[in-house]
Order: sequence, then structure tokens, then C-alpha cells
Amino acid sequence: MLTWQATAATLAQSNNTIIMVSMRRNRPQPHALARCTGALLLTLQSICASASDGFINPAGPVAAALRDHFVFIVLVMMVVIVPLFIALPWALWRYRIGNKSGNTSGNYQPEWEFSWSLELLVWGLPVVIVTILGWKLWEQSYQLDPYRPLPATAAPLEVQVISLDWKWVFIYPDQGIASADELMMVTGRPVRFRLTSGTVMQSFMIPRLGGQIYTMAGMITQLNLLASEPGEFRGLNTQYNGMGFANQKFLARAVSQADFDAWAANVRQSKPPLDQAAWAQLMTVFGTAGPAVLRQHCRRLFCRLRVELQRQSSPPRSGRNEIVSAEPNFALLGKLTAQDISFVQTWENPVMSEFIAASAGGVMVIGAVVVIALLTYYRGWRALWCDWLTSVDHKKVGIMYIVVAFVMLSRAIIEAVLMRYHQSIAVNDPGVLSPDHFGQLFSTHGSIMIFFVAMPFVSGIMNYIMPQQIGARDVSFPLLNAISLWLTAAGAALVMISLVVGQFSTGGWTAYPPYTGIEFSPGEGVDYWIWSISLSSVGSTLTGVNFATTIYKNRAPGMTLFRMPLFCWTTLCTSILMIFAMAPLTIATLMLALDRYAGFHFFTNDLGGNMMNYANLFWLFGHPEVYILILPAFGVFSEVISTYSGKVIYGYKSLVFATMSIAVLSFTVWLHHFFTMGQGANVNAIFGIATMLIGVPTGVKVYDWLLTMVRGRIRLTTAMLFSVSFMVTFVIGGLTGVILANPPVDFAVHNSLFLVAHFHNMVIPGVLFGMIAGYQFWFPKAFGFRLAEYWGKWSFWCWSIGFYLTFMPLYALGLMGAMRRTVEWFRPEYTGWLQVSFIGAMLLLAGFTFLAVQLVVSMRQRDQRRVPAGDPWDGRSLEWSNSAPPPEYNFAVVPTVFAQDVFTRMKQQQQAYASPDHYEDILVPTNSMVAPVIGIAAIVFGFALVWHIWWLVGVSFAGMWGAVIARSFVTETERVIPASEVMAEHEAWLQRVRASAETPRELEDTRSNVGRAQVLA
Amino acid sequence: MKQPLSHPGLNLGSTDEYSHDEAEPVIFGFWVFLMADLVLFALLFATYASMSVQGQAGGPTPADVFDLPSAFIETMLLLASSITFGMASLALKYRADGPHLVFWLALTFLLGAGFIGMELRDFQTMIAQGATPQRSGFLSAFFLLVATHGIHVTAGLVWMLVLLLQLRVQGRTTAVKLRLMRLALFWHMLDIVWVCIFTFVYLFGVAL
Amino acid sequence: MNGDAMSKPHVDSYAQDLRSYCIGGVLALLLTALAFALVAFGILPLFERLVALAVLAVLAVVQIVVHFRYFLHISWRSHRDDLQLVLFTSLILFLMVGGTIWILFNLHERMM
Repeated sequence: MLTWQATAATLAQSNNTIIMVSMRRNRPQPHALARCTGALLLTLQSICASASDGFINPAGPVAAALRDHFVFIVLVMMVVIVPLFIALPWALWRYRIGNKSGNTSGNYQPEWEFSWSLELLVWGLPVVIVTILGWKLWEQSYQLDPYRPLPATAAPLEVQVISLDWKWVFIYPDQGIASADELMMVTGRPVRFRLTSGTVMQSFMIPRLGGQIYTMAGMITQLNLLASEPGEFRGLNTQYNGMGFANQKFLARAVSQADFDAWAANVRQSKPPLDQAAWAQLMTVFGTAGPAVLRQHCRRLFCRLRVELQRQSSPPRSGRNEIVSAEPNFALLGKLTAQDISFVQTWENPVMSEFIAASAGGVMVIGAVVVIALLTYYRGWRALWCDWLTSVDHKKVGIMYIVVAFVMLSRAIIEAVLMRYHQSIAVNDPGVLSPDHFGQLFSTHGSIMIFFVAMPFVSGIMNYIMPQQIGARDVSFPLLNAISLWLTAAGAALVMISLVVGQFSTGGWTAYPPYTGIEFSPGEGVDYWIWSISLSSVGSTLTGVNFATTIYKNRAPGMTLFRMPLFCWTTLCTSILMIFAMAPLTIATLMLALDRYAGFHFFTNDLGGNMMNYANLFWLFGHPEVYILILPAFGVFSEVISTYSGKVIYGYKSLVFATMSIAVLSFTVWLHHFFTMGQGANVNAIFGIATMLIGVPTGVKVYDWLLTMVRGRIRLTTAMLFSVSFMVTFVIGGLTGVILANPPVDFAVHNSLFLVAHFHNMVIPGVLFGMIAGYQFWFPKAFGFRLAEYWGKWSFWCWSIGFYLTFMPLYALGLMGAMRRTVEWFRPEYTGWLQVSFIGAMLLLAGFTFLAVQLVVSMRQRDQRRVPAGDPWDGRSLEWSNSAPPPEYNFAVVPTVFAQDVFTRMKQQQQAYASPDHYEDILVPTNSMVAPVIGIAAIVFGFALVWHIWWLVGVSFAGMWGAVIARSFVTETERVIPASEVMAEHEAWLQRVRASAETPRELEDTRSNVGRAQVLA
Repeated sequence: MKQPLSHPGLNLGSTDEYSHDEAEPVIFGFWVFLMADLVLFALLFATYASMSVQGQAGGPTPADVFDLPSAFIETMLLLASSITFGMASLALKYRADGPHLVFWLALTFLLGAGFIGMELRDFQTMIAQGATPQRSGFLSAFFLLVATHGIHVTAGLVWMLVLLLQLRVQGRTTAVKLRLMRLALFWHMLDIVWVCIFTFVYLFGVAL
Repeated sequence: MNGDAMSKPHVDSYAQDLRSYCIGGVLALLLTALAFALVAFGILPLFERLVALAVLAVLAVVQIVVHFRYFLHISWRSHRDDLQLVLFTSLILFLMVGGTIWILFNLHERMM
């Protein structure tokens, strides 16, 4: 309780009356707002009671201001969030399909699509909130600029900080002394830190005193802190920097001026000098230095460091410590040796961590062998090659994308569970994974989830659905589409190969240099990352080009832009983002590769390299990437919610406008990923406000979806459950997003588990739930039978509850000062939270397993689940107007579009399933082996680059371009399906549809649903 | 509702209406791709802008290593090749047969090859002076930016060779015509990038 | 879609198309020569440095517009999609390049 009294004392200084009221617990609390605050603080307090180590338990004015700001934002945001949490369950209950009293004729208004007053409220409320928060953000950014001297009576104490490999050196220039891993401060006297790094980028932080700031070689950043009470505070590095990261901590002691002077005098007299030899040892010996105190040998050490240390080479700190040779290697297999095979490594070094790695590699090899064996046994090679791998049909390409996504998801989710398990037992214990293995796990998990799960899943669904929704027969460039798929698959294959041959990067999915530079990561891991990401980024750029062209040029007659379903709008915006946002990633990885392979100096510590530009380039891609992933999911939710509410989408134009604003705004916010790098308050504030602005259109969307449900007839199917769960969960993620958009608050929680929880909170509901909902929704269209709702709902509950159990504890841990990418903890109070999080991760794994069960069960029952008529959910857009599965050419006759939600209109006007006047020959693209050839050559190309097998690099590069050039000489690229064949097939289907019974919505999940929907008058 | 079609580059229009209709999505798609490529160059420029000032690392400055007369000759070669490609486009559109098209393409190829030759010679001179890309961040950024443009031009040259071959083998089919139209866009776009290079790299570097 | 352009059917005339390339070529040559001459003959150092750079930048932008207009045939009468795309690209490039330069120079200043 001592710390809480201290907190109260600090709070009294902070003049925040709201908080003061709630802190005086013995007095009556008359205001509702104060009661609210009290409840919130009690929650915070319960976190603090177990751990008083984060900024929410401040010991200085900076941290106190951060905490107050944090609480203020949460309270203001409640104005938007609470109404939603009340209205959403109300709408679901009131407008559920079984509600007899609610479904009287007046209540079900399927055409209710807009209300000016509601729309003004929906736009106005977020605008007001963002204005208030933005004004506050601006003010706080200047006041809490880490460079700004703190207002205090005493002159500041100057401390120079040098981050080294897993240790901190503090130099006190005025006292002429230095200390390692121990910082002495004077209570009540501000400290002015000037910081730099002797190795890779790190981030300096004392959570209870305030925010963090990056330390970078060759750069000097600044930070001002003040301890207003005596005590010992934990200080740490928050930026992952190799195997010793978890142990890199220091103790900050705040003592009286007299004690400080005595300490300094003692050091000067009795401690050994920090001479050249001592310094060299500090620089090169890894690990912690212990609180030894050293005298400074040179007052200008800190300044000289910028020049000197830049040239000092340091041995590798990740992967195996191998010697890198500067000579180019022209051996037949390049750098590759038997020792690089993971099984050999395990044989030579049989420890748990290696055993786990070998098992993963083993599972992959066995899986591949089993697939090959099964294909051979069932003589499936020919079908696989002819029907799938060489196909350029957008529907098959789409399905193959989703298969890639599911395969990669299974690996990444197992990695996640393994990491959560490890962390849950690694409290004052080394756990099961070696630091290096752990580093590879979080790097592959992140890279795979973004580039090889989310991206292919999104691309796959867009591929399958978008052309059908706009009434097209295929995308504009079908072969290019297949090439994009194969490039993405090649990237995924490289990541999988790294399980068996060599190791993966430990630099995280962002791969920040200089850590990922050749000097600090000489192994092949980063190269695996670079080439797998580069291949997939090229594929995504081409996908964007292809889809944008398709939407602009291939729409059916009458399909104006403003008649397109929302999913097409989001696909268009995503394509535009892909076109413009993938280039920065390509450039960043290319520059990193040139640094590593050719000795360039883009991001190195020495000779003018500047890693800050990497951060800049990476996030120029990275932020739009978030919307590349989330926008298609928004599109899916729009379709799902509208369809399962049996109602036109509410505020169509508003949603379109919101989507477009999000797309443009997403190019203006990238800096919020590195608020802590040291740029000025104005830069931070402007990017912070731009970030908050995105909250406005996003909030509008959520409310428009809610209003889409209102006055509908809601069926809570699996897809709908995922959508509803998304709305609730995503709003919480939005709240923490607005919190993180504030530069000062970001200083406190950047790199912490709070951040990890935030982006999982956006990406799991916002992308994965969306994709799963889309998968449930459109599966019957693609395969001709419905998925089993029973197992779908099991899966849903596991995903939903699992999500909360996994990530809510991470928010708490983040506030308690727990940092991401930490392999071992030293605070026992984390244990409970981490264990809950692990249980949640197990539930998520169960959710994934139930999806697999659902698929298997549904396949076995497919004969009872068939929906040949093609419209099992009373769909509204064109993709439901053809058979399930659709013919190769999608539409026997390209439909003419006369309205939004055109298929619903056709059904209402009895025009659906009418025989067309006449049929025409249809041209479809022929299969081509160019795409698989390019894909396989790309895998070889990447592999050869990783292992420096130069002859193979040349051969595979020539192979890729040779295939392209050879293809350009092929003139027969399309084949004709004669009109008679089209007519026979289509008329037979129409006969069948006309003969089938119309299913009312109540019987959707029964055998009677064969895909013909009952039309309400 | 037929739109008055006018895509980027020289339109075939009434001279070959079938190809003109076919061109619509193809040219648009390529145009979109060029925009993505422009982003790539723009970021290389942005990187160069900061590194040429902040990343000299005590090494040579832009004014030390840039050879302005050589850059001027390169500029003229590339500009001339843009005009000759324009003539090739006109030949493609208006002269259904005859050697004009091949002549102008070949001339464009020679000018482009001359540009690449000059550029390589420049690089060689710089490297001989010790101004290698490994010397400093500024030089890394310079070489990447200019060489990326050079690699694009080289790719354009290879593409031109392939198309000359296709003209010989397949004649002026719609597919070949559309490829020539796309190559024209590519070529003119590279000239635009070069305008930025000679201004923001060479002239700025010497003028500063 | 665009009634204005509909009423003026496009006439394919060799002379007109040739003229477009010739005008473009001459303008581009002039602008290039002017820019190089300003630097090579030392006219620029007479200006204030920033003014000099601005003059060079303006010349480049004008030349880019010339190339777009006369070589790539993008104009206000182009297909709306294409022009929109160029303008949108310009916006994004402005955000990316401007933002990058702003951020990096701000950081550079604060790292001293």
C-alpha cells in the first residue's frame, strides 16, 4: 500500500481534480463522472496492486501526466463506446428473426437505408470527440516533448547514456564519473539525459518515471525525467536487440543530494578508472555489467563515440556465432553446409529448444511426404497440375490463395501457442525455448501472419468474389493473377524451407536495422526474411494493379461505381493501397539487401548510414498495409451484415466515403509507429492527429453496420456471429488505438505488451474474423455445399473467448511495464496474467481446430448440404445469381445491372432465373504453366540468394524472365466455349432452380435449403 | 454509351479500331503499373535527398564526383530517344507497312544503348576515383537511384529487342501493337524520371 | 460519359500527331538546355541558394508536364480515369516524399 499512498501524493500535485475526487475514497462521491473514474481507477489499481512497475503507478511528474492523459482519453472515448455496447445487444435482440412481436410489418423495413439526422449524429459525435482529443493531444505533445526541460527549481543533472550490448553505461560529465547498469539520480532534481548507442538501436525507459526514447549509434536523442520521491526504479531497454535482451535492465536510484554527492565522491576515490582497456571490455563483452562503478577516462567519450564506435566492428549477436568472410563464395552450394539442416543441429546439440525446432521441421517434412504420397496413391498429380496449378481462372486462383493462407495459419498459430506457453512458464526460469529460437518464433509468427496468412486470405477472397460481384468473367489479366499467387506462394515456401534448412531472422517482422544488418546478424536468417517478403510484395503490387484495372474496366453494363457492392469498393481501395504502398517495402528490403550483400551504407551504423530511414520506409508501407488487410474485411462485414439482416446496407454512400477517406488517410499516419525516435513535437502531433482522424470514418462504419441491423430480420449464423463479435472487439481495439495515437502516451506503452495487445485487437477481429466470416459466407458458393453451423459456432466461441482471454491480460501486462519479445521475466506478479493468456491461446488453437473439424464434417455430409441453385442466404449481389459452384465463365450471359443490390431487385421483380434471349460464344483464358514455372524459379532464386549460390541465382533469374519472354510469343491464349454448350449447361441449371423449393430464412440451416431463397413480397 | 476513349500514349484510334478497343484495359493496367513504379522512384529520390546531405560521411560531396557535361550528353541521348520512339509510335499508327517502324525503333535502341554506355562509363570513372557505393550513405543512395533507372532502361532495351523479333516473326498483330504501345509509355516515363534525376541529383548536387 | 468530349470526335491526323511530338521535343530541349546552362555557366550562384534551387525545380516540373502532355498525351481531355490516376499519384507522392524529407530532416536536426 505504500506505493499507493505515494501515488496519491503525486496525484495531489498533478492538480487533476477528477482523479483527486476518486482517490479520496472515504468521502462521498457525488458526481457520476467521478464514480466512473473511480471504477476505472479501481481496475487500474488492481493491476497496480500486483505490480507497481508501470507508468500507471507514477513516481514522477512526467509519468503522472502520462497516466492522467491516459485516463482522460479512456473516459472521453466512452462517449462513443458505451452507446454502441448498449445499442448492439438491443438491436440483436429486438430485430432477431424469431422475435414475433418485433417482426410485425412496421418493424421490418428492408428498404430503410438512410436518415439524415442519424447520419449527422454518427459523423458528428466522432468528430467532436476527435476534436477534443486532438486539441488535448496537441497541447500534451508540446508539454511532454521528451526534449523539453522540466520546470523545476533545481538545475538539471546531466547524464549521458550509452546503450551497449545488453548493458547500460551512464556518464556523469559534471562529476567526472561513470556507472554501468546503475543510475543515480537526485530526488526532486530533474535529470537531462543525452542518449546514444554503441551497437544497435535500443530504447531507454524507466517506466515509473516516464516515457521512452530510442538510442541510436551516431545519433543523440534527449530525455528529461524527474523522480519526485526517493526509491529504486526499474529501468530497461524496450527494443529487442538480441539474445541478452531480457536481461538488459538497470536500477535507477533516486537519493538525496547529499547522498548523491557522497556516492560520487566515493566513486571518484575508490573505483577503478574507466580507461581504454576497461572501455574495450565493456564494448565487447556481452551480458550485463553488474552495478560496478567506473571512473571516466575521458570527458569527451560520449561525443567521440559518435565517430569512433561507428567503425568498431562487433561480433555477431544472433544465430550461431559464425565468422563471415568478406570474400565472395563461389562454392557449388554457396554457404550451405550439412550443419545448416535443423536435424543435424539437433543431433549435435540435443537440448529442448533444438528438439522443438527439429520437430517443427520434421512435421513439415513428414507433411510434405504424406501429401506427395497421397497424391501419388490417388493418382492426383495430373488433376492437380491441369485443374489447379496451371489454372488462371480467378476462382481457382482465389481458392489456392486461401489454401496457402490456411496452411500458413496453422504454422503461425502453433508458434503463437508455443510462445505463450513459453512465456507463461518463463518467470524467473529459462522456460523451454532458447532466446535465439524464441526470436525466430516471434519473427516468423509476425511475418507469416501478415504476409502469408492475412495477405493471401484477403487476396483470395477478393479474387474469388470481386469479379463475380461486378459481373465480370475474369480479372483483366488472368495470367498475371496466377503469377501473383505463385510469387506469394514462393515467399511462403521460403519461410517453410527455413524450418528445415538454416534459421530464420530474429529481427521481428519489421526487421529493423542495424540489428538486421550484416554486422549484427551475419547468418542467413535475415536473408530468408528479405527474399520471402520481397517476392510476396512484388506479387501484391501486381495483384493491386490487376484488381484496380478489373474494377475500372471490366464491370458489367450498367454497373456504375455507385452500384457496386461495398466489398468491391473496399477491394478497389485495397488495390489502390497495394499499388502505392508495396513499393516502400520493396525499396526498404532492397536497400537492406544491398547493405548485407554488397556493403552499401543505407542503414548501417557507420559511413553515413541512417536506420531512421528504414523505419520511415518500412512504415510508409506498414501503415497502409494495415488497411490493405482491414478494408476487405470491412467489405465482408458489410455484405454479411446486410445479407443476414435481410436488409439493404444502411448509409451506402456514407460507407463508401468512409472507406475512401480511410484509404487516403492511411498514407498520412505512418510516423505513429516511431513516435519515440526523437522527432519534434510538431511532427509527432500532426501525425498523431491524423491518426485520430482515421477513427472518425471507422467509427461511422461501425455505427452504420449497427443501423443496418436495425429494422432488419437478423439471423445469427456463424458468419454473423463473427461480424458482431468483430464490432464489439474492434471498438475496444479502436479505443486503445486512439490512446496510442497520443505521442506522450505512446512514449509510455510503445514496444510493450499493451501495443502487442492493441494490434492483435485490430487484426484478429478486423482481419481474421472478417476472413473467417467471408469463408463461412461464400463457401457454399465456391464448393456447392453449406458448412456445418454447429461446428462453426463452436469455432466462433473459441475464437471470441480465446481472443479476450489471450489479449486482455496483455493489455494489463503492458501497463505493468512488460515488454514485447521478452524471453524471460523477472517479476513473479506477471505469472497469473501470462497463464491466463496461455489458456486463451489454447482456446484460439481450439477455434482453429474446430474450423478444420467443420470442414471435414461438412464434406462428409455434403450430399445433404448441397445448394446447387446457388443462393443459400438470400444474397443481394450478382455472385449469388449463378450456380454453386459457378461455371468457369461465371455468367452464361453477362448481366445488365439496373440498381444497387441488383440480385435482390431481380428476385423481387421475378427476373431472376429467367432464360436469356440468346447465348454467345465465350472466350476463356487457357491454362498456362508459366505461372508455376515462375513460382518455382522464384523459390529457387530466393533460396540461392539466401545461401549465396550465385550460379543458381543466375539460372533461376534467367528462368523467370525466360518464361515471361517465351510466353509473349504464344498467340493462342484463349479458348472458345461454344454458345450451344453454354446454353445447354445454363438451361439445365435454370430448370433445376425453377424446380427447387423456395426456402424461408428460418429454415436456412436445414436440408431444405438447396440454394433457392424465398422472396418476400 | 460509348465513351470517347483516349488512353495515355498515342491512340491508334480510327486507324485500327479493333486494336484500339482491345487497348483500353491493357493500357490502363500498364499505366497503373507505371504509377506503382513511380512510387518506387519517388522513394529513392526521397532517400537520396536526405542521404546526399546527411550521409556524406566525410567522403566526396556531390559536386566532387558529378560530371556535368557527361550528364548533359546522357540527357540529350535519352531525350532524343524519346522523340525517336514518338516517331516509331507514329509509324505504328499511320504506316501499316514499310521499314519506318523498325528504323525508328532501331534508332531508339541505339540511343538508349548509348545512354547506358555513357552511364556505365560515368560509374566506372566514379569508382576509379574511390567514389564507390560502399564509401558513404550518399554514394549508396546515388548509385541505387541512378542504377535503378539504368536497369529500367536496360529492361526497356531488352523488351525492344524482343518486340523487334516479334515484329519479324508475327508481324503487326494486335498483341504486338499493344506491347509496342506499352513500351512507349514505359520509355517516356523513364525519360520523366531522368528529368528528375538530372535536376534533383546532378544539377542540385553541383549547384549546392 | 463526358458530353464535352463526345461532341468533338477525335480525328486521327498524322500532321497533328507529328506536331505534338515536335512541340514536345523542342520544349523539352529548351527546358533541359536552360536548366543545364543556368548551372554550367554559373548563372545560378548569383541567386540566393534557395531561389536557385526553386528555379531548377520549377523548370523540372514544367518539363515533366511537357512530357506528360506531348509524349504521353495526358491532358484535361484524357480519359477521366487516367488523369485522376495521375493526380492521385501526385498526391500520394507528395505525401510520401514530402513526409519523408520533413521527418528525416527534422530528426537530423534533433540528433545533433
